[in-house]
Amino acid sequence: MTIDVIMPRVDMTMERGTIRSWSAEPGAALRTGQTLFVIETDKAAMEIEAPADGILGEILVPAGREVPVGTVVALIRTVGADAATGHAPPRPVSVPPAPAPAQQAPAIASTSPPAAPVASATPAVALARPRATPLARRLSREYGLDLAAIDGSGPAGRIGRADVETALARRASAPLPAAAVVERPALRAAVPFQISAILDLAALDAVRARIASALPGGRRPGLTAMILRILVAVLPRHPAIAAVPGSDPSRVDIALALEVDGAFAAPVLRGMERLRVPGIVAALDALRGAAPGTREGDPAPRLLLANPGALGLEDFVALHDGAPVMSIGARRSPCGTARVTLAADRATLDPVAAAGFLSDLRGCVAAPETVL
Amino acid sequence: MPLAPYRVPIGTAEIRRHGSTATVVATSIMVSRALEAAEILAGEGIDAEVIDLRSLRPLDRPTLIESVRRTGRLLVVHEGVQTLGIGAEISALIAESDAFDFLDAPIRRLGGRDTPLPYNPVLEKAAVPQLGDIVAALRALAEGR
Repeated sequence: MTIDVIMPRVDMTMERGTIRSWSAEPGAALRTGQTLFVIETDKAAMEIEAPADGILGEILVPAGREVPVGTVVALIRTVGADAATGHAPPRPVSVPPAPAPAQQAPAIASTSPPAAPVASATPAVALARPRATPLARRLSREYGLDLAAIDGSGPAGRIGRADVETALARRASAPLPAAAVVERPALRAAVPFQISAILDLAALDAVRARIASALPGGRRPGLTAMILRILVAVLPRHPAIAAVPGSDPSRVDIALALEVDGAFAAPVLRGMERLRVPGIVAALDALRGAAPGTREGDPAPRLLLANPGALGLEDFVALHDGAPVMSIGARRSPCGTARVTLAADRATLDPVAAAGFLSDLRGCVAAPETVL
Repeated sequence: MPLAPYRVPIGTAEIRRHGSTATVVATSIMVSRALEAAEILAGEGIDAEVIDLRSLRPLDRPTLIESVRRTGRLLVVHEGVQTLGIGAEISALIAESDAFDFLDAPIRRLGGRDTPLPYNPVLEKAAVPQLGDIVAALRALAEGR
């Protein structure tokens, strides 16, 4: 069998690459992982490893030539392949073949070390980019993660959503690089900050009216229920929004600011990740009946949601046992907007992560059909 | 089946069970089997959404796409021969849609065997997907296989 070696994409923006030098001659025996050639991009030089055991057949792209990513640059004959029939089919690649070392392979094959059979049929692809699901690719793109640095837990090491989320949680809990920490330790103890956004509620109102028909009694779900529903969809994407860094991002527990007997209370709604709007409405109703107690071992809520807007008031800025506090302000008619403010502590939440979360939330409220 | 006269809308699929782990799209008798399979697997933490297609043409694309965007996994179960069947069409439809970027596992099809439907009842059972086949396919899908 002949395996194509292609010009790999070694960073996200790379379109073309130049081979600086070849580390093996045609006819040389190769081991998987051994350096095969060195490429130069506009940023760096990088050693590229052989994707399979075998004999280096033709070098199709000589050193010094710049070619697009994906171009076949050489052929590897796996041991046992018939050199006469082992050629890859012609490819639509405008690269002239190098001086033909064609018929050397059989002679070399007998002197080469016995090699393990190559299991994968597409090592050329594996060389270029890691095995990952489309969802994992999209998430890693959105969060700026390098897929090559993520361990895949799926079949054949495929990277799935869970692996990306694990990597994100690890990144969120990892200490900042030393150079980036400019605050003195004393200041890191509690550095409150807040950040606000204006929510466009028009689309959400339309969904509320539509959902009403599915609810008992045709009741329109309240704004709090709808915002909770959006949070259920958005929070798993933002593992940084948590009282305890590194906690399970798929779990959505939210504390709700309520008035109970004339005083402030913050009962926690648990297991929200399983709920849709009707379930959330039911949970809110149950909460007003009797607030659930906290059991031993329950994790801290991801955030505290307050809705001072229901009283015609604006921002409720506070910290809640290390969890960020999100408050929804009064609805501004006639434009149908409301201000949302996220208050948190820099010791537990990076403002950049907070901004990313709030911006995602704003987008989802404006276009709820993307998450509902 | 209701005793009174009833209408089934043409062109809209019905979500018969809401779930978050995987979408199972089924037709006719496979719907009830898929629902049963979903209940069995609910105990294993696999929360499948089951969609009854109801009509093949017009095909309710938005419902399918929206569901797969949420779950990231798709299994199509149908009684007809798997090769070149409705499962292949729905699989292609999803892969071509913007649900592609939300797929977290390869799409799976589960259809009948590549054979004319046998008259012998034992062989007939073996030729079309049974509850156990759906459970196995759904479990494999949830594991990303």
